[in-house]
Order: sequence, then C-alpha cells, then structure tokens
Amino acid sequence: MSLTRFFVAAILTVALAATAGCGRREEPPTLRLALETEPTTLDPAYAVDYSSGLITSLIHANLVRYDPDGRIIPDLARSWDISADGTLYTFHLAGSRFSNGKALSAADVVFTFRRLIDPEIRSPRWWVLEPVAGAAAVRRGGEWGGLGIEAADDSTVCIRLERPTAHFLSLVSMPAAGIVTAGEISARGEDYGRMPCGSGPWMLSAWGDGDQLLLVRNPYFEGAAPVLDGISLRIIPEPMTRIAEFEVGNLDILEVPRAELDRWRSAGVTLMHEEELRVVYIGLNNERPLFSDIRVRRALNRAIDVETIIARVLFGAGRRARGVIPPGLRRTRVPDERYPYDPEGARKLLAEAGYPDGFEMELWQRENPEGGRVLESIQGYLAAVGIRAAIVTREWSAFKKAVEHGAADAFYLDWFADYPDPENFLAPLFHSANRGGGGNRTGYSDAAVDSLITAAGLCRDEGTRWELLAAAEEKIYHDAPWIFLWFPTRYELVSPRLKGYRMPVIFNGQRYLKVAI
Amino acid sequence: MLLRFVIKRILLLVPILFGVITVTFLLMYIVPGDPVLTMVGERYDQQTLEEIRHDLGLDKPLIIQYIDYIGRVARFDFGRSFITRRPVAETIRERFPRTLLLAFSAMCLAVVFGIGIGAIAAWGRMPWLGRSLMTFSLIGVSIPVFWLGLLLIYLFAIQLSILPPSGYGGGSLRYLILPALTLSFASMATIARVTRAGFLDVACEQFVRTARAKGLSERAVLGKHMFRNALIPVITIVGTDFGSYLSGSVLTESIFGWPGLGRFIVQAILKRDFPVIQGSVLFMAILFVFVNLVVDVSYGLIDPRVRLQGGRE
Amino acid sequence: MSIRGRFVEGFLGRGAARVGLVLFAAVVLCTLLADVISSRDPVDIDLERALMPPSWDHPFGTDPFGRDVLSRAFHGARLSLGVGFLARTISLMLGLLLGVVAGYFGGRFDSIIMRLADITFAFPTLLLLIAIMAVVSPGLVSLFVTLGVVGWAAMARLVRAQVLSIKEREYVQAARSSGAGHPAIIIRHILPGCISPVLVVYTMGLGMTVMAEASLSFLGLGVQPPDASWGRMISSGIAFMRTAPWLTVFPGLLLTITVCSFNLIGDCLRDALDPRSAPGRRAAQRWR
Repeated sequence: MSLTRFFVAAILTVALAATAGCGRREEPPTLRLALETEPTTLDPAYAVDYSSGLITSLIHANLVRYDPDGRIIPDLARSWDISADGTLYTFHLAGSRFSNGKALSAADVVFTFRRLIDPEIRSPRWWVLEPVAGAAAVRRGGEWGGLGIEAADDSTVCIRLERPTAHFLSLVSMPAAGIVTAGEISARGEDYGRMPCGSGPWMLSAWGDGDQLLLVRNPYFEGAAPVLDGISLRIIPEPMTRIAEFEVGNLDILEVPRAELDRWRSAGVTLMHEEELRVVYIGLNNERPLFSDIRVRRALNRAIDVETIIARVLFGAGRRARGVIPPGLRRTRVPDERYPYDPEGARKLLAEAGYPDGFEMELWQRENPEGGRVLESIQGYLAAVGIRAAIVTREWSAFKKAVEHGAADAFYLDWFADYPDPENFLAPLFHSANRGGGGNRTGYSDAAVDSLITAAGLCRDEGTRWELLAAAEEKIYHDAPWIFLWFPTRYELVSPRLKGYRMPVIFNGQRYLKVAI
Repeated sequence: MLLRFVIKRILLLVPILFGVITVTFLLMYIVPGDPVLTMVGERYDQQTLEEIRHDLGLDKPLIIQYIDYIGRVARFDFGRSFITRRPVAETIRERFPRTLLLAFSAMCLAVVFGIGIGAIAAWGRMPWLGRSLMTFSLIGVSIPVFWLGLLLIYLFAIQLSILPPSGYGGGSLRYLILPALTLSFASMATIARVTRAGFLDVACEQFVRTARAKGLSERAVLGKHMFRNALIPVITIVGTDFGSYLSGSVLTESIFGWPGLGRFIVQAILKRDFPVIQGSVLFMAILFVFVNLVVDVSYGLIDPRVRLQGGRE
Repeated sequence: MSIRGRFVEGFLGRGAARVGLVLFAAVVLCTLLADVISSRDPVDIDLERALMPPSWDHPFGTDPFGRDVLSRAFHGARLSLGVGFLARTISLMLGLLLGVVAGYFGGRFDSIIMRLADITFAFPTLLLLIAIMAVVSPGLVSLFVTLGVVGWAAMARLVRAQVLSIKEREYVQAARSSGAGHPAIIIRHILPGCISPVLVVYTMGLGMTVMAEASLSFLGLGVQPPDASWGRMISSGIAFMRTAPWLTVFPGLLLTITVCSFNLIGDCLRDALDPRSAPGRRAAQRWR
C-alpha cells in the first residue's frame, strides 16, 4: 500500500474517532459540579457512600429535610404533629408527584419504609427506621404484625415509635428514607439504582459510566421549581485536575484541595468556608492492655502538636478538637483544654504508666494521600516521646475489617454527620451497644456515658437533652479513648457567574433550588 | 502449514484461558479485605452483613464457588458488580470502546510520528539530526509514562491552559490528545529506532543498488522498496504494543481520568469487586492472547524470505 | 570471537555504552553518597521549612514536611535500584532453573513449564502485579519477590531456547556418551553457553523492573511510608504540582536517567554479544 494512502487513512481514522463523541455536552444554563468518586447506586435503600447519598437526595424527596442552614423544613410533609409522649408522629402530606407523573400518596411512604426494613431487601441503612415500633422484629425475624407504620388516609402517615426518639425527624431526612414508588421499583427491578424515579426537584437524564451524570429539572415537581435547567456532575478523582477544570471555567463550585489553599487565599478570590460536621481522630483500641491505662491515652494526646499540624499539613483548614461535637452543632460550652501540647508531660505520664522508654505500636490508616502526610507528622511527634509507631496502610474494606475485629492498635479515621444533631456524634461512636460495625470502633464502654446518651434520646425537652449530651461529651473527653485531632473546615470556590449559592451545613442540605447563573 | 499453526494456537488457548481464570479466582479469594464491607457503608449490623454475604454466595466453600463460577462463565454470565450491581458485561461494553479509542489513537500517533522520525534520522545528509533524534527516542523509551503524563498536563493544561487536564469529554479530540500522546511515546520511540535501523539495513540491499543503477529516481527507490521492507519490524511492534495498550493502559487512564477499562479494573481490584475482576481479566486475557496470535500469524506471513521471493521481479 | 573479546570491543568500544555506564555510575554514586551528601535525615520532619523551592541549601527544594528532597531522592535511589536488582536476580534464578529443566529434561516438565509461562504471559503484567500486591500485605520484601516472580517467564523461555540448541552440540553429545552425569553436563557445558543471552536479557529487564517498581509505588502499592522510592515521591507530589513542581520533577528525572542508562547498557550489550536477535521482536512490555 502506498505511503500517502497509509497516512491519509491513519489521519482520517483518528479524525473520525475523535468526532464520534462530539457534541455530547450539556446545554446551558446548567450547574457544573465535580464528584470525586462515582456513585455506586441511586437506590435509597442501598446508597451508602457520599456521592450516592448526595445524588439520591437530589432525585428523591423526603418527608422532612434540612435546609442549607441546618434547620428542619417541610418537604413532602407540609406539617406534622408529635404526640405528647413523643411516640406518635403524624405527617400530613402536601400534593406531590414523581418524575413519571404519578401522584405521591401515603401508600408510597408506607411502601418505602416497609421496603427499607424488609429483610429480603437487605438494606444496610435499615437502622434509620430502627426506633419505629416493631421494626426490629421485622428485620430480625420477618414479623410484620406489630409494625407501627400506617397510612391513615391518602395524605396522612402515622408512625409509632418504640420509645421517644428526639432525633427521629433527622433520621427521616436521610437519603435512605427518600420516598420511592412501588410501581417503578418493581418495573425497574435491579436496575432501579441506575434509573431512579423520585419526587425531588431533579431527575436523572443521563449517566455515562465513569464519566458524568446529568440531572434535569423534574417537570412534575410540585414545590418551587429550581431556577436552573440542569446539573452536570463530572467524575474527577484527582484534586489537581478538578482545580484546573475550575480555572479554565468548566466547573462552577469546587472544594479547594488543601494543598492549594494558600495559593487561592492570596489570589484575592473570595472563598466560602464552612466548618464541616465532621471530626477527625485517631481511635485507640481500648481493648489492648497497652491502651487500657488512661495515662497512656492521655500521654498520646499530649504528645502531638495538633495546632502545628493543622497549620502546616492542613494549611489552616481545621480547628483543634476539644471534645467530640463539632462547633456547628454546639450549644453548650466547649470543654476546657485538657491535653495541651506537652511532650515533657507526655513522657512523665508514660513513665508513670510503666513505659519510661516508650513502646511500639501500629497506626493504621486507609489509603489516601492526605492521611499519609498527617500520619507521618504524627509519627514524628510520637517518636519524640519515645513511641515507635509503624504506619500500616490498607485498602478500605481490609482496614475496616481489621479495625472492627480489634486487630489494629490505633487507627486514623473520621466521622461524617448523617444528620446535624450531636447525638449522631456520641451514640454511634461511644455507646457500648454500637461496638464494631455500629460505629464504636474503639470498644469504649462506660456505663455512665451509656445512660446519659440513652436518657438524652428519650428526652423531650431540648434544653435538658443538650445538657445530658454535653455531660456525656465531658466524660468522653476526660477518658480520652481517642487522640482528639480536629474538625475540618471546608473551603469552596464559587464561579462568579453563580448567584444564590450557600454552603450547606449538612451534605444533603443544598438542593440548588435557588442557585442561578 | 499456516492453517495448522493457527488451529494449534487456538486450541492451545483453551488451557491457557482456563489457567488464567483459575489464577484470577484464587488470587482474589486469598485476599485480606471483604467486598461486602465496602457495600454496607459506615454503620451496619452484623445480620445484614451475613445476609448479603450469603446472597452473593461468598459463604460457600471455595471449591463450590469455583465450580459455580466456571459454570456461569460457560453460559457467558459474568454476573453483576458487587458495588454497582450493574451487569459486568454491560460495563465492559461501555468502557472498552474508550480504551480502544485511546489505544487506537496512540497507535496511529506512534506509527505516523515514529516512522517519520525514523526516516528523517536515517537520512544521510544530517547525521547530527539522526543522533539527536535517536537520543530523543532513547529518552522516550525510558521515561516513566505517569511522569510524562504529569509533565504534559503541567505544560499544556496548567501553564498554557490550552488543553483540558483530564477527562473523557465524550471522546472529543481536545480530551484525547494528551493521553494518546503520553501513551504513544514509548512505542513511537521504539518504532523510530527500528525504522531507522530498517532503512539503514535496506539501503545496502542488492536490489536497491540495482534499482538505482537502473536509473530509477531517488523517490521511487525510497518509496517502493525501502519503506516496504523497513515496515516489517514496525508491524510487529504495532501488534505487540497494541495488545499491551488494550490490556493495561492503566497508568495513563489513571493520570488523565480516562474512564476506560484499565482504570476500572484497578479500582475493582482495590475494592475487591470479584465479579468485575474476574470478568474483565478474562476478557482482557482473551483479547491479549488473540492479538498475540494475530501478530504471530502475520509475522509468519510477512517473513522476509517469502516477501523477497515475491517482490524481486 | 570470545565473549571477552566481544565484550571489550563490541561493548566497551561503543560510545553509547560508555555513556550508559557513566550514567549508571552516577546513579550508583548518588545512592552510595546518600548519607554523606545530604546532611539531613530524610525522615526528619521540620514543618517550619515545608515546601521551599530549590536553593543552595536545598538543591531540590523541600517537601510538605520540610524534608530535603535531594536526600530523599538519593535514598529513594537506593530503594529503587535495590528492589530492581533483587527482583531481577530472583527472575534470573527462577528462569534459569525452570528454563534448564524444561530444555534439558524435556517431556512433561517442558510442557508444564511452558504452559505456565503461557499463562503468565496471558496476564497483562501491570495488572498482575497490582493484583498480587493488593493481595499480599504491602512491604519491601513482598515487592521485590512479586516483581521477581512475575518476571520469570521471559527468562525461562530464553534459557530453554538456548539449552535446546546447546544440547545437540557435539561436545555435549560426547560428554554424555562418555558417561558424565546430568549435573556435570549442565554446569560445565550448558550453563556457560547461556551466559551471553542471559546477561543481555537480565540487563534489558532491569530498566523494566525499575519502572515497574516505580509504577506500583506510584499507585500506592509499592514502598510504604516513611520510606520513599521515586514512584511514591512523584505520586505524593501531584497535589502540589502548581505550588511546588520540584516535588515531581526531580524524582522523575532521576528515574528517567536510571532507566535510560539501563536501556543503553542493555542495548549495547545485546548488539555486542547477541547480534542475531531481531530488533522488533523483543517482548515489548511497556508500563502504560
């Protein structure tokens, strides 16, 4: 074959291949966002990771929701009554429709909740409805008889609880409690996770595997319609790439990677920031003889200069944690500083506890680049007081397994709020009933703390409830089952062409209804 | 006989594939780490964990799981991903064309520029150009592909801002250039070297001198005979490299966020998504072996002795 | 011409080979002097001096922990080179053993071993490495053992081919008929004949092995903190590409130079010792 023909053919093929995918871009005005990981499913019953939860919340509506400022507002339920003893919730539904046109009725709500706790469905998020009377019986043994969920009429749902639960409304606002309709669930079967049908302001219009998701306005949404026509969510795992895309103008809102913070701060651009409802810590395996001595735990807390790590490794994007409850949820006084940076004091405590020459330990983390830098700094500080810490990095599920089976001495982890309530930071992490998979991975168990948390759950009066939770937090801080690190601050860059955007307090609190270009 | 050779190779495929499946299967199961833990998220209860594990058949003895798996594969059922619950075959079908696009573009770039550079380098008039181009090609073979990708991103996307730093962009050219260039570099360098060597070899060949003596123009000599013969080793490289592109452009896809099959497999390996790993590795092994087979066969076909006998008239 | 002769004239005589050797010597020098040149401990954290650009004090700048990048890069050289050579030697041992067995004893050994080789070749190498490293607990030992084991097949194939051709030579037949035992024959006649091609393949594979280690470390599956190999340094530097590009540039440069030197030496060795091998037919395994 002649050379010229070869070259021409080659160039033509490349050109053809290149144009094959052209013209697929969304039309304005669309909000352009970036996701770090691809959602795994958009089925509320199975959405467990951040991306999935976020998008599921945009597509499905709940009985009640949180607004960007962290207040409970009506969503599908225009109003609700709570009985005097706190065990009966009656929701009055507003008129709503699903994206397929079907009107939403109480039957849909009942169906959704029954599905969530259905043992056949095996939803890992069924604990959202655990306070409901009879729910545990259904989940454990298939006993549907005593379930306290019923539709009084087409637009009223009554839910009876086992016991008063102060944070029940928060539970109902979670992505897992997004309302679905029986018809579409059975029609789409296993593919519902890829083709959901909800009654939220947005609906899924396209999902290119690994590439991006496109949401468009739900034409049947009964509430105030979003100003924008659509949202495009591109999946970009690399922070550097996300920033570059923002700079070029391809993204509208972006979380600023920590490594870039200094640069953007000095660029004179306005950065929005919000203290996340999230706590970062190092959990100490309380079942290890080494860590059963409170002096050792306190020594570890004193050995690390958290402020400097925040300033240098996090570039200032965080606040030292004194206690467990993030500043955004705090209504009571912050506990007094118990563990200032004090390497000498740490050494003394260790010597008292019987480790004058320090000891060896393993510090586990899951694979992530920033965590690596943090742990290396901590390793340095621990070495300075004689503790030789080896960093063990594992893939997420292997890490989880090791931590939950008590195979790890200490582990670097964070805890994200499911809903903006301090109970979410105390009960799952420190109540002895939640040991292992429930969230309490240190094995911490204290009768006083347990009873305080349980009592707070039953409490009807907000003031007393906060007091009880604050007392629990004080005890926990005093007992130091963790090395308390920080509450991260999230910084976001917003494109100047955007108006009306506010950073939400809880991750699914922003539905982009009022955002305009 | 060529036909016997081909059939023999295809028959040999079966035990190889079997071996591949078995090794993949074993590898994934000796693993520390539990895919079910990834599926249940942050807070979960033991009962749900056990039930899901049972549903997926992960609590059965290894040998039973293996037999089940072989049975499903024989029926072309590759199962559903543990994590996304999408059928594995569907995901492969969606992602593979993207890897193919990348591989194909890279190969075109490598061939076009590689032959061009090799031809220029072989040109006798400017030996210093030839030497510097060969140095350049040495670097091209030695440079780590992920570093090269980062450098290109830094230069074109960050400093100059003329190309997007990553992504697929529906396959449009702007998004394709950098990853294809990065991927093609090493092959381009090898093809350049081999082309130049081929030209220099062939330049001495008897029949070229005869053609020159006959008075044919320089262009005719160059065009017809030298190119054809210098191309033989290039074709071999194209075949082998293309096979390795398809089956593992992992690093390039990772750096550029290219949503192809390579990256998908790496993520599945890291998350212990067994059905995806098994299905994709099987798919890629078949592809890889097939491409190697084609290369072997065509190498036999284009053997110089056969060619010269036919070409010398 | 004897091997010695070919080596001296064909190899050392070529300019390219000398360049390669010089580069290699430079890299080795870096590793040896790592402790001397860099007065700073590579794992010494000094957060006050983080992310400083290159200067007289810190020719390669400092990393996010304030560690001197130059000293880390030189220590990284140790790891990369060490792992590379160890792994390659493991491949050599395994490949020699299995290749000789397959070629010399033939029969069922031969078929089984070659089948295993085919299966190994059927896997895309990087994916196989990733899969194995994801399975075994990450660490230095598992790294070079994995790299070594995965590289056995090409070596074994080559050795087998050599053994097959040597086996039929007259002096071997003579030795057999005079009653020499198998081990004696292998050691005295077969192995020496394998030296040249094996040496070539060994050296040419060094570049690939170092690259493989860098790729694995880049993906996070190789060397673990606080140790740093070049691949790992590059991947941790990505987040700082704009603010501190020296974190990625220098380790990558060193890596390229090292692999360059191995390739140069390998090519020239091949030209000198084994000119028969076709330039295009190498097992072209690239790290993409």
